[in-house]
Amino acid sequence: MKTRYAIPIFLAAFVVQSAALRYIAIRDVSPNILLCLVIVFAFLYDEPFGACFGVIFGILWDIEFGLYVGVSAVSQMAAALAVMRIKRYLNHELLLPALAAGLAGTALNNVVYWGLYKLTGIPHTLLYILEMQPVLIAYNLLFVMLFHLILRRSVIRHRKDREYKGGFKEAKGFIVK
Amino acid sequence: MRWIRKHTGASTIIAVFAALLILVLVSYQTFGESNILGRAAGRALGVIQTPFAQAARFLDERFSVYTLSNELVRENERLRVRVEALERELSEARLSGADLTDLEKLSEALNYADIGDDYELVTADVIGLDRSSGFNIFTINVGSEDGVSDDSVVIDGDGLIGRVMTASENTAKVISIIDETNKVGFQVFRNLEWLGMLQGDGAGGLTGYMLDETAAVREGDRLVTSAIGGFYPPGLMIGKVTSVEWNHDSPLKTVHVEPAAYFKSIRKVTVLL
Repeated sequence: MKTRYAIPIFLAAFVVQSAALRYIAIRDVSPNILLCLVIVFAFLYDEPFGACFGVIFGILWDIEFGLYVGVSAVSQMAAALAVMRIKRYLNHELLLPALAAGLAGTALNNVVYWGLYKLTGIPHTLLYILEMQPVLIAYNLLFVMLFHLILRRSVIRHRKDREYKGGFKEAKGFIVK
Repeated sequence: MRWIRKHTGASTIIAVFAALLILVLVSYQTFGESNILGRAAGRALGVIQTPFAQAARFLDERFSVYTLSNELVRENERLRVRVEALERELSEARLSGADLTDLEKLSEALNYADIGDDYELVTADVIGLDRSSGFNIFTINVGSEDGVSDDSVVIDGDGLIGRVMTASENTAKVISIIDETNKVGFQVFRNLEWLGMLQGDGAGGLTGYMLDETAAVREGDRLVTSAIGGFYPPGLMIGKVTSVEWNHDSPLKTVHVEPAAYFKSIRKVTVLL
């Protein structure tokens, strides 16, 4: 994935997240597709796209919707780094490991995000925060699955790979064990 | 230094984390107010967001006719109940000419002024709203060019919504009263001498206390803003008391309040200038 392709993808996700996703909210919770993209990019690519775009778009997100600037950036960077760490032990091609990474990334993001906000003294109770987690996690996993199915074809280009269809150049950054 | 040169990746990550944490601290110290860079980013994002928000709303309005979701059914039920209540109120409140004259005299005596007399009103569309974070912070399509400034008060047809956190040229970021850590001063509509303070209860409602322990506030009482608290002008509808608690450990009565504004489906708001 080249940066010139990644930037429009993240920008589109940012706009869709803010303008449209509230219309598909379940129990007043909509998915965080920006975080889903950060997780999938961190899971699929060896370049630190996930962490970098997590920080940049996290700051932009906080400017638009955050109480304090930087909280989303920290939490998304933490999620991306955690996913980059655990993906060494997982198969990138398969959906189930991607969902496991999605679950770990979402959980860590939420813990860091709410942890930092609780330190600043927001009025939200732990019960209120926990109530929205099941829907948020389920929704996020759905979008992680969707993004993984779409984006994995752009990285898996080795002859030994399951998804190899022929006619591609081998990707430089992709490590095949 | 040698360790940094040897562990370039780890050093970069630590440096970025440290920089971000400093950013959070600075933002916390300045109560989330944006600087010039933040306002410029807000302005640029507003330009991108507005057409997408309008398109998304257009599509939602078209498709919602066919996909009657549970949310719409619940909202419909809520509105039906409200219409019935308003019809009852209307039938009870039909005034005779004599009653009207008395009320006009009372209004003059209380020096009552309508919000529209003291403030200019600007209507705005909600162009950005995040439902994944749990906060009720949203972006509207009016900004300093329209006269909106930081701390401008935001209302809708039902009552008080919140205040503007940051206003860029063409957009403004609004924080709702249920997320606000600042307190909102209130008075009980039934007896305007009963005063108190409210703030978000952390679960989508408001909670607070009466300043006067003898105030006989009860369930169903409507609360409006008072001059206490600073941000909000007096007389704006806040919500309805759902329960009153008397805690023997404290001399103050605690009230729990359901906000009058329905935060789950905010689309249009009005800003007081």
